Amino acid sequence: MSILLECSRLTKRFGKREVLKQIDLRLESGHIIGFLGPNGSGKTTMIKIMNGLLTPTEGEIRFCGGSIGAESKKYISYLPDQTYLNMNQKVKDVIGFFKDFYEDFEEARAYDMLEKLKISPDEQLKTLSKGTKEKVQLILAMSRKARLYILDEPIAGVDPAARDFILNTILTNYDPQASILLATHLIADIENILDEVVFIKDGKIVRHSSVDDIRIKEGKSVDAYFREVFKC
Amino acid sequence: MPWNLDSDRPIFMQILERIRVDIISGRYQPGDKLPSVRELAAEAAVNPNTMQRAFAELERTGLVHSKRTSGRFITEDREMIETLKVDIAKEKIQLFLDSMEQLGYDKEQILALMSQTLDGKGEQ
Amino acid sequence: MLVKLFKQEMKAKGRVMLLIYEVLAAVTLLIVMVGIYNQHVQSRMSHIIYAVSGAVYLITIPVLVIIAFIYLCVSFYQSMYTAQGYLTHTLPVKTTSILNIKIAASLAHMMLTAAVVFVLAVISGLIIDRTVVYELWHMLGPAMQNIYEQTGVHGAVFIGSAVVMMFLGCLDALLLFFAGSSIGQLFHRSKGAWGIAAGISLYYMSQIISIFAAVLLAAFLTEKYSGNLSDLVILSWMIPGTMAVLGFWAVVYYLISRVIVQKHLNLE
Repeated sequence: MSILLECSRLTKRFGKREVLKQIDLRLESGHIIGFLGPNGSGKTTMIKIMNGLLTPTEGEIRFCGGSIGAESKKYISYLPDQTYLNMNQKVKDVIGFFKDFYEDFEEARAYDMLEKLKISPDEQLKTLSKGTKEKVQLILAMSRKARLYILDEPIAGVDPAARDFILNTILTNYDPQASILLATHLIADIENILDEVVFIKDGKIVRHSSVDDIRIKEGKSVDAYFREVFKC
Repeated sequence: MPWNLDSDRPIFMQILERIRVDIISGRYQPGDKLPSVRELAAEAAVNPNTMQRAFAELERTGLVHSKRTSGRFITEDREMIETLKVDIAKEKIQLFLDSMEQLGYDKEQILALMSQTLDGKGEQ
Repeated sequence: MLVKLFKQEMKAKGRVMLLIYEVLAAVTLLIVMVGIYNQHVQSRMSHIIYAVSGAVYLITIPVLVIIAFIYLCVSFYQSMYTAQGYLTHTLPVKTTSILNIKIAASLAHMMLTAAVVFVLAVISGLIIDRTVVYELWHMLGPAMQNIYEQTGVHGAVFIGSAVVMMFLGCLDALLLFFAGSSIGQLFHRSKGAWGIAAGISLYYMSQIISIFAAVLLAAFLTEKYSGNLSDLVILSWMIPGTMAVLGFWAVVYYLISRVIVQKHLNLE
């Protein structure tokens, strides 16, 4: 069990608006962690900072003891919440691209998943449906043998059968040296595969505990507890 | 059999119960090899750490023992299994009696109703 | 890793650039055919057709070069500051390296385009009317000699300077667009519009400052040579001066992009 990510007094301000307020967070390896919070809670900002897409205003963030940069990006696999690939290429082209740039990319696994999801590698990305594009992006992220996977809404735009496949992939990929951070609104669907949850509200971490802990202490599911904490 | 897991109770407890039932009902015979944590976790669609916790509890109570590298095996102690079977049956009966009490039935009424229902079931 | 990224960049833009080169070649082929037709027929009609075609050709080439340039700028913007940026900026490469490689690749493509245009021009010239090209070539030697006698400087220096200035001018234009789009992405809405506004403002400011510098230089020179300014002296100051100015603004535009990419990336 090693410490993958450590944030101390992490703060982010956009002008006068403080989006992240003195966040302290520690993520260890070997867990599947739910990152839960409504829109505007700072969740996306936090994820962007972890991926080096934003720099903190104050405080520190360290990945495996080092700073966020070209080095940390080698070991973090990120699935953003939108289609981010250049659509003017074939599926196999983008797989080749990932293989080229990420040492930990497992090409065989990627092709295997494509086959199981019945996606042809020779298809042009722009001809694929939205759901299929998302599946391709997920395959790319999960085919890497990373230390931290950050999946932002991996099952939102995907049909229920594919959801099962995706959750199954996440489970069978489980590596005690790695962790998966799942940011999502569809808590009920993924609750069973999580063992840890982080609740973020108004730029602060309001709860960070195991799923069992919540079910025992609150006597309800994480989904139900979420609705309670974030009642409108 | 699909795993029907409640959302408001800890999963590892439900897994524990389910595996116990599987052992008692004979789905897992004494001495059988249990699937690996990962396999079972994927089948049940639960976190491997949660499954591991259930396994650890099973080992602690002696229902399951691990043989170093070969994996985990159901105990061959048939007496233990019998005792467990009786214990679980008693738990369920107690729950049943509690709910009947809530409805307002007394001991004789409960026994009468039980006879009736069992006979009816026999005729089917 | 950087070499890989450069290759990938060249390849990614290569498809469309190749298309543009093919169009350049096709248009050149057309003018060559008209030229040959004219050489054989030599009628008044054919001369008119040839002249008109030649004019159209001379307008088409710069237009295609501009299209190539615009494509490269749009391509840069898309891969850096739109959704594609999520892929670009999470690659295990330093952000500044990514910027540098993209600039290098865009510049390489522009130089390639220039080379293609030049080669096509020479080839078409050779095919249509060999003698004219040979005459020009043979004039080159004596012209160089002439320049050397008149100025004491080898003619190649002037040609070299022209090439360098074309290169710097192209670099400046690219970096200006990149800087403008980097500023544009800082905003939440109408990033493109803000980018264009920023680019125009930058250009305007750089031109004003450059004019001031030129006026100051002129004043300094007039002082130094006490009004005894020959064309040669002016040239000997203007050529390196222009290069220095182009180089200066290239650095300024580059730094704007660099700082923004490093600290103020605003992917939505």
